[in-house]
Amino acid sequence: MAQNHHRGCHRRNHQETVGETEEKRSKFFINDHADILIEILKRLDGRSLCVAASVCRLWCAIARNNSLWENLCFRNVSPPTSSVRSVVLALGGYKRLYVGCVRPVRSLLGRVRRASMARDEVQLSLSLFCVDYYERLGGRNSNGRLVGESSPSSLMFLCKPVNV
Amino acid sequence: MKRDNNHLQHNPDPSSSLCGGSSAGKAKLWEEEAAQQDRGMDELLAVLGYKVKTSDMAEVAQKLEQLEEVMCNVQDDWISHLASETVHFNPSDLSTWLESMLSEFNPPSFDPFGAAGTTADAMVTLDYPFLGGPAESSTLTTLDFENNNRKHQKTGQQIFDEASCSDYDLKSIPGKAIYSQNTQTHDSSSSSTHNNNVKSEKRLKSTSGSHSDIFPPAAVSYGIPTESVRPVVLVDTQENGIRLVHALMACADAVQQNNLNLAEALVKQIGFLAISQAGAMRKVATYFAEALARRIYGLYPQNPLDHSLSDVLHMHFYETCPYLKFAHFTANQAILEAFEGKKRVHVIDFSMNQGMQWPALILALKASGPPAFRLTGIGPPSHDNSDHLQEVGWKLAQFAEKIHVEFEYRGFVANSLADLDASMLDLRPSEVEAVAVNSVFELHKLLARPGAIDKVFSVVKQMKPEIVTIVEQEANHNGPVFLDRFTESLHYYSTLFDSLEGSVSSQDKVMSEVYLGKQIVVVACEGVDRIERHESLTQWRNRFGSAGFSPVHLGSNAFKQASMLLALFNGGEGYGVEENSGCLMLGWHNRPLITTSAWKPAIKNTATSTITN
Repeated sequence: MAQNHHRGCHRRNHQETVGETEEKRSKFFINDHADILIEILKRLDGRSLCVAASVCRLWCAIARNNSLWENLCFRNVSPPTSSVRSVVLALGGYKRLYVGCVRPVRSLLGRVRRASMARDEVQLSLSLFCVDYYERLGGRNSNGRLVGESSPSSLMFLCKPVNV
Repeated sequence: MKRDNNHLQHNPDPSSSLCGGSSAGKAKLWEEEAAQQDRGMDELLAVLGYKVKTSDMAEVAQKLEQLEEVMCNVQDDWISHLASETVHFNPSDLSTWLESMLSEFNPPSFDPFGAAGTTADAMVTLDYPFLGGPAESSTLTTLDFENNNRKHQKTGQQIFDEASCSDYDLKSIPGKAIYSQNTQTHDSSSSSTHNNNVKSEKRLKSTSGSHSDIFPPAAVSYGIPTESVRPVVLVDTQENGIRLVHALMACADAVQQNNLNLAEALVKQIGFLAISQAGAMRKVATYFAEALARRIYGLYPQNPLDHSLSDVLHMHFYETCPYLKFAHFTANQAILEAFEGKKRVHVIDFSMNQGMQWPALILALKASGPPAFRLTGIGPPSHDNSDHLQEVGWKLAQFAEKIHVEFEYRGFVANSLADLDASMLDLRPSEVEAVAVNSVFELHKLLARPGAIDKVFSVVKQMKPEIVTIVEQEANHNGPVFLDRFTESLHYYSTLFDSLEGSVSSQDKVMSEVYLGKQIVVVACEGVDRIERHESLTQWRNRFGSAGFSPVHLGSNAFKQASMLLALFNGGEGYGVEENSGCLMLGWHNRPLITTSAWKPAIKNTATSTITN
């Protein structure tokens, strides 16, 4: 038994040495390939994506990429038209849409059974999203000066009450 | 601390009346017994010579406590009176004996049936902290009591006593609340739940009309016609809730019959009872009590207040509950479908407020075009110098610019929608521009002035709209009889407040309740001031029909969106969407609360009215 083990170790050592040599030749480091990283991150769910964003600065920057969050929002739904994309980007980006509206709406509505419902969910989230943006807009008072932003709380109803 | 006086012999000996010697230990034992459950058939008490049914244990214990409290607070001379003149049953039958004892303290107000049963509820402390001033004329009431008591003695049974000295009798009042008041008890509202009565019949006492110059006592004792400062509290039982509703109805009835003294007394009672309730019922009752009080005292609410305050309230109402969101989303869906394929669209909004409805529509229009979007907002004048409508328009313009939709805005200030004229609105020919008219909770206010609604209908027809979307409360608060209106609105607002109970944010909830409370108070008004004249869908249908409009069915998209929206609130529990011949109704536990409907001017030359889908 001990003999076999020893032989196994020996073999492994040998392999490791080989591997190391290979590595020295072509080192693959995921951080060098942002597009591959993005492809991988695209397949994550929301929570994992947020976790990934906390790994390092590079990943955090990459995770801010709108296409990732767009993917999340429109998962199971036909991709949005370009007009929707421009709207969402103008109103704050897909991450905000996802975190602020899509995710709470999805969690409140439970698992979606039909694809059509998924589309309606996104539609509803979009409507709520733009109401939220509108609420955040400051007004202008009669002197033409910008009034501060009002505290937006039209999305409060999406929050579940916290048991203190 | 327990007094040992819970025990009077059949032939009362005044000296011993206050210290039934052997009862000391017994009192403790009784408490213990009562506290234990599932004892055998009152065997321990039986050993002592008291017959108490096990099932009655809790009641007996409560009554003992009540009796003790009552006796602690009563005047001394009265106790001796009790000792010498009252008739008591065999004290070994503890239950009945306690009843008779407590009835002595309780001025004779009986139901004709002399209930032997008991209601096993409530403790009896009612706190009236806000009533100032000590009671007065206690002697007067004691005398009365004695009178009545003696009557009671004579008959030896419980009778329905008609007091001659009572200014008014709270006799049977519609709604099955039975009042039998024959004494001038000095306080308002204590209800004798604890004994002698009544499973189904509720009783309330009231201040006597002849002593109207006397203020109610600082604290009211339960049933004692003296000034006793014993605090009394009504526990939130279902009975108290029913009592509260009955009191509200009785008061409304009194107001209708212009019996203002009675109404005044009842309003005070309502105030006390309302405190005992928890949650939605308490708030609704308080608002309705305020409305009734205003009506009684002639303090009608001033005209709408500070614009900024009502804005804030409106916003919170928007956020807390789905009603406004439902209204906006369903109306938008109808407008969107009507605007299909148009290049230029114009929306005239009678209910501009904060303009919360329009971002979603602008966004949705973006997907179909977008067409050039023109918005005319109509609102009441603001009381400060700010041009509120312009601010809203500016915000919307910002939004539209962000998402690249061509946007034009005009704001109109009008005291009433009837002041509008089509010529003011700069309407463009309908081939060029499609028009939609939108009104959320605004049309019913026009019903206060005769002819206003018809004028508005004709103006709307002049606009040649593709669609007219209306959202209104689903209730009939515009009947000719005050009591009917009162009842209807009581039910309506109770349901509404109930639905708010599940809100996430308590601050929002409070604001929404204040917002609704303002509507409730208007219920009290009459004539032109009564602007909250809600009408039901059927009534609106008739109005629109006779004004020359035909209904447009709201599609399934609207229904789906609405159901999905409601599922986000409160876990989807309670709220429900219903379709009613093309109109969508939002309800709470199957009681419809608001309705969205859509209309189009009927084309005159065809025999049948057009219905577009």
